[in-house]
Amino acid sequence: MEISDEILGAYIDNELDNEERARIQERLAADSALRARACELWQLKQMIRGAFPLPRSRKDSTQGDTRPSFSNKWPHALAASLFVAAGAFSGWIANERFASERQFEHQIEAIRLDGGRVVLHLFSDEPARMEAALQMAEKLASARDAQGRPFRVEFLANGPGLHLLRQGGSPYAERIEALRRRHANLRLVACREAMARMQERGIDVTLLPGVEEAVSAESELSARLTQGWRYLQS
Amino acid sequence: MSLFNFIGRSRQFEAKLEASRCRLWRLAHSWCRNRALADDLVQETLAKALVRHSQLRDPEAMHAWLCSILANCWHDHLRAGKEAIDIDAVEEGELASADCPEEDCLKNEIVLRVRQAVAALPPGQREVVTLVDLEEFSYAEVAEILQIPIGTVMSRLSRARASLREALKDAHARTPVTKAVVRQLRG
Repeated sequence: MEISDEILGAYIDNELDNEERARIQERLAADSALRARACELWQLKQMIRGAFPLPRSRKDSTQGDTRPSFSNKWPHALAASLFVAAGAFSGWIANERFASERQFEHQIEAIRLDGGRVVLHLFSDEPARMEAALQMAEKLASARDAQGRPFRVEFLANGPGLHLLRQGGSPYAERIEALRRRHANLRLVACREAMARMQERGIDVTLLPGVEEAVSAESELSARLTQGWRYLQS
Repeated sequence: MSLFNFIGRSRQFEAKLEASRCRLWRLAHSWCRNRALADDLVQETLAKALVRHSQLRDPEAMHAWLCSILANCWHDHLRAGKEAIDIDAVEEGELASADCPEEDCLKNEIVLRVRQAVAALPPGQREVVTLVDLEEFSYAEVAEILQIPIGTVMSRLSRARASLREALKDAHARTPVTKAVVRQLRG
């Protein structure tokens, strides 16, 4: 049966229940034309996000000017969205098939050939995705590039995914601490915009030890992807 | 409630309002595409929110509640027949970057085209697509904010995306992304 744009959009917007989601994933894995349509929708969403960056807060703007103003760096938000569209989509597809161990091995091989640098992005607090992200982080941080050097891995969390790196919010605090101690080549990075959003909702955001802050997930991704890092999403 | 508690709670409420201000402004600007009008709509929204703060049942849902007030202010504005948007107006001040290498110019051009394409949508579609894509509200939240059935949210979103895709077809083609995506998909 033909999958409508409405349903495909709902898939991209994370609006489907598990059963329906699985059905679409199965079709995506088998149908390249459907993947292209999904990719186009995904890209469109990123373009819209990139075209309307968040203005700086009033406090940051010039005194006397109460109007929010844009930061000079704002075109990078669009660059991020464009680069992310390319990178993320591959990660996204990879993620759909993460059940297959071989697929993930294939991803690791691609990263190895590409210089061994990867951003692992988490923006969900679903237990299954958090678990998958931790397993991926462990494997990536243990992998070595063609010259035998450990991969450089950046674990970036934003949106609900931030809970994983938050004290009191993460059921995996001990595991993350152990992971960090074991792998000096793994950086844990939280998105400051996501932190602000959580704080807005009255949630205490104290990060786990050793977690760094990026101005925003988007700017961080933009920087990394332009430097040639690979992208994976959990 | 003691006066002290009352003042404390009001301050907290005002601090939260302030935190939502930038997001409201971005949303208003994406709807009306006019900076001064976006300022006015946000001011009006915040003023109404202060007056009606006792109506906010769930503080967690504050931003959605503010967006629904903003949507009402915007609809009042549209009803008054005041929508006078020049969708071709180039927002030079915003787009000028310090050094304008070719790449930045291309990005700016794409941004303008995306904004124009969004502005050219009927208001109902414009609202839905920005609430979903910029504010990341769920379909159910958007239905609540705009007071429309969830089926209408989905159909408006789908129509909006179809129009945007059409309007931005060659913008896609001009980005290096398309090639990369095609490569990824082949790989």
